[in-house]
Amino acid sequence: MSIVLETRGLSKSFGAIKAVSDVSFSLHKGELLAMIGPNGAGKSTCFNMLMGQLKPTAGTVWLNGQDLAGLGPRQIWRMGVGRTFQITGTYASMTVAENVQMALISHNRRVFAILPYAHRLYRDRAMELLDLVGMGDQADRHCAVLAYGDLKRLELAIALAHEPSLLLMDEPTAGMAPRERIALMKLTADIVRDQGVSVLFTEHDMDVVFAHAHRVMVLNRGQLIANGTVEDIRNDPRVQEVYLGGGTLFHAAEEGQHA
Amino acid sequence: MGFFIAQLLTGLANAGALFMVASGLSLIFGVTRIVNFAHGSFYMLGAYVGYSLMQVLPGAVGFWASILLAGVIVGLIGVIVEICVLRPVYRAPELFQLVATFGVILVIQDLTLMTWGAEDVLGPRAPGLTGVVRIMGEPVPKYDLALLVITPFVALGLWYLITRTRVGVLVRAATQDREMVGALGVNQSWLFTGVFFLGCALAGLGGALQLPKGGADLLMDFNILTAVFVVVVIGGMGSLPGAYLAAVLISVLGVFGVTYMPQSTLVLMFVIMVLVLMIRPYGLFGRPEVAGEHGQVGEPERPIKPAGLRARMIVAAGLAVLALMPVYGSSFALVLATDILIFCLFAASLHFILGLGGLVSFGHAAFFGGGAYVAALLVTYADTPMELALLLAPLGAGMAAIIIGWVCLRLTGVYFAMLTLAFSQLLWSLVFQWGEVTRGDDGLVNIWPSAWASGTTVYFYLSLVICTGGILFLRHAAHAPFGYALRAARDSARQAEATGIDTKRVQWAAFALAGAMAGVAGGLFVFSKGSVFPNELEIARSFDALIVVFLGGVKTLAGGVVGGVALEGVKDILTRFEYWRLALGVLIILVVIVAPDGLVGTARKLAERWGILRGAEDSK
Repeated sequence: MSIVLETRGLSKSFGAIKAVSDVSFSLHKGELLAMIGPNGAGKSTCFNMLMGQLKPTAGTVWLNGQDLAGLGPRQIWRMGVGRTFQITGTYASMTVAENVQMALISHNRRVFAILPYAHRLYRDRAMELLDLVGMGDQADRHCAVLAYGDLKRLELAIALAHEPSLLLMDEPTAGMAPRERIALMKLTADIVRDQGVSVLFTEHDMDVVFAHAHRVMVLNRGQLIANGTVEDIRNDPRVQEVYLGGGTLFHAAEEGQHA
Repeated sequence: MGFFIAQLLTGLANAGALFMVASGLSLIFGVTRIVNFAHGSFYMLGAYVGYSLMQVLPGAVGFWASILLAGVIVGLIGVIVEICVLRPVYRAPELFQLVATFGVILVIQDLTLMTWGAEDVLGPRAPGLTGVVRIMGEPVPKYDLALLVITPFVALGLWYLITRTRVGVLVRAATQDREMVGALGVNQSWLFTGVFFLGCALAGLGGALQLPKGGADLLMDFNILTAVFVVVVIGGMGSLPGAYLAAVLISVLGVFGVTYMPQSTLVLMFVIMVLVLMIRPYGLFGRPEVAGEHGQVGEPERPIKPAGLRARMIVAAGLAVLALMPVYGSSFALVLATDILIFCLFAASLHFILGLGGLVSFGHAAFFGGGAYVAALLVTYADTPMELALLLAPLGAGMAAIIIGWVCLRLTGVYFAMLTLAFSQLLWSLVFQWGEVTRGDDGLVNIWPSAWASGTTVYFYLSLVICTGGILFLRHAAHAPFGYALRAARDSARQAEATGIDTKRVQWAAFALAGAMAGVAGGLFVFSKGSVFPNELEIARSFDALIVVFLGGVKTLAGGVVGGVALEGVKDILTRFEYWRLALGVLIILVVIVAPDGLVGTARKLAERWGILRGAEDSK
């Protein structure tokens, strides 16, 4: 399998604090890779470096063999990386379809066009994307009145607009009800399978991680302490120690769903 | 040396009133998030009330008691204003309260005129402090020295109140996070009222304290307002030490400026402000504004759609009625209609960045007046024909907007607003003080249209074509990808950036386009009047456009135009009466309270409720 994303020795320090140190991993095509770790483990810092919002102190990131050093978020997006946020960011004053059309307009570099009507541009493609995430029937609704789960799906459609080879999802199911979480991750897994997209996501909910991730990485205090299959991670004593000081969090997590 | 010290002392003394007014404004902004345009009016009231009290209360005790009482009385007037005018509109869209405070300015102006008359009032001398003291041979008024001593005490008192008392804790907490303070059970409305009292009392105190130096007149409100904005912004919004330092800086520079560079005192103040903000964008002691992650306050704007056939027919019919005006209207009506058309284009250009982009510019007159002056200067010095001048006016204004926008767009929210204000004031002071070229206050005159367009009717048609063309173009741009990108940048800059949209560049381009369109309006304006004066660049002109956009409805596409027609039309009727400001002010306040979504927004809601228009989906 070809490698989509690869990092080598990725590090970030804020003053004397090492938020992320020496993280190396690779993500293969069609893979759903989870990045987990307790609060403050460096997940968001990692994400922000991958997306170009933060400059790494050291280390390199390759996307499909290309070095991302010094590129900003917009350029990285143009190279085929989509992103969804922990807290959704959608255009509240537009319709659902227009939200997706906006991303398509940007992808086709027509942001500064002043003659055509924006709501007619790429409408068909937007509808395809919305159908893909199951939002087709809500295409003409006002974005501001959507339920939170629908906003998450809309954001996924926006992130898929430029047919990315890599999707970065920061806590995709945060703030959702248990049933919605499972539905959204199933949707994501289907898209990974059907569209050949690779996904890197962070997540707090172990049910979601263990049910859908192909592979799991565990960060603690900025360091990558484990990287393997779901089964490996479950049984890794170091991971258990990080999460519960040697306790049995993973069994507890299986018993009840914490919404 | 003695002269130098004397000047320094005068400057420091002048800083007193400025500091008090500025700290009041800063406090009110910090807690209520209202930029109180009427703050200069409270300062003026302080001076007049103090003057009247001094007529009644005798002697030294009476003098100082009058000053204190003036502060208290003005504070109480502030409370009345807060309860009657601002409370009903706290929930209105962001910055809508600006319009209300502008109404308050008008009302206070006329009430002051009614009560104290149009004559300037000479302030009484402070008993026992009438003479001068010689410092190294230079005379320094004793009262200046008194002010020098008083101001730090007021500042210290304020500092103690804010940092050491329970009230201060509440005020600081509310400045940081209003909602949290509310959630902790603090009665917000009384906190707001209290802060308003304190802020207005400080303004009144400042006004009364400077009576022996400057007396009282009806122009005080606007005169101090710009200086106060400058002080608050240089010092940093919400910072008391910053306000003090900036007040001293501006006052001392003002005094030295008068001595050494009498031609550029005003320019100097704004140049310093621009320089400070370029190095420290949030002022000397300010902190970055903690803006909400996303978009707008209040109900989000509705999705927009190009006008349907029915709406187009209505607009076409309206334009036809307008185009036939020479047949049935008097030539006076034609002149009025031309004015309104030009003003509507100006308002529509501001609405483009304010409504779609969420960029609240306090200085849009820079481009209207800028365009007007470009045209006027070209005609005066290069005998440029009207046609060319009308083309070059938007070009000049657009260039100015590119430069000003580049600097201002580094900031957001209220700091952006203040910086645009500073730049427009900078332009105004340049025009005002660079008399050799611009003829200063005398204005540039004899700028008439080409022969073919000199008739009232022809010029009306020229304005009709250009202004409706401009307005329709802006409206179309709103529906184009460019307009959508502008709204995207406003709704969620993070998402826009994450999908490859260069939000700053989109906003910059929009700012330039809006500037150029305002320049078109400015060019047309010059040739319709035959002259231009610095007041076309004034802060009041910028406010006119702001008010129109808010009155019409920020979150509706037609807001700017409808507001422009309404305000100019009403003004035309009201200005025939003696106390028209009072009437207009009350009217504005009423509209703000009754129709917080603006005229268009409220009309739309009513039409939906009555079933004339199809309603939007219920908001969450």
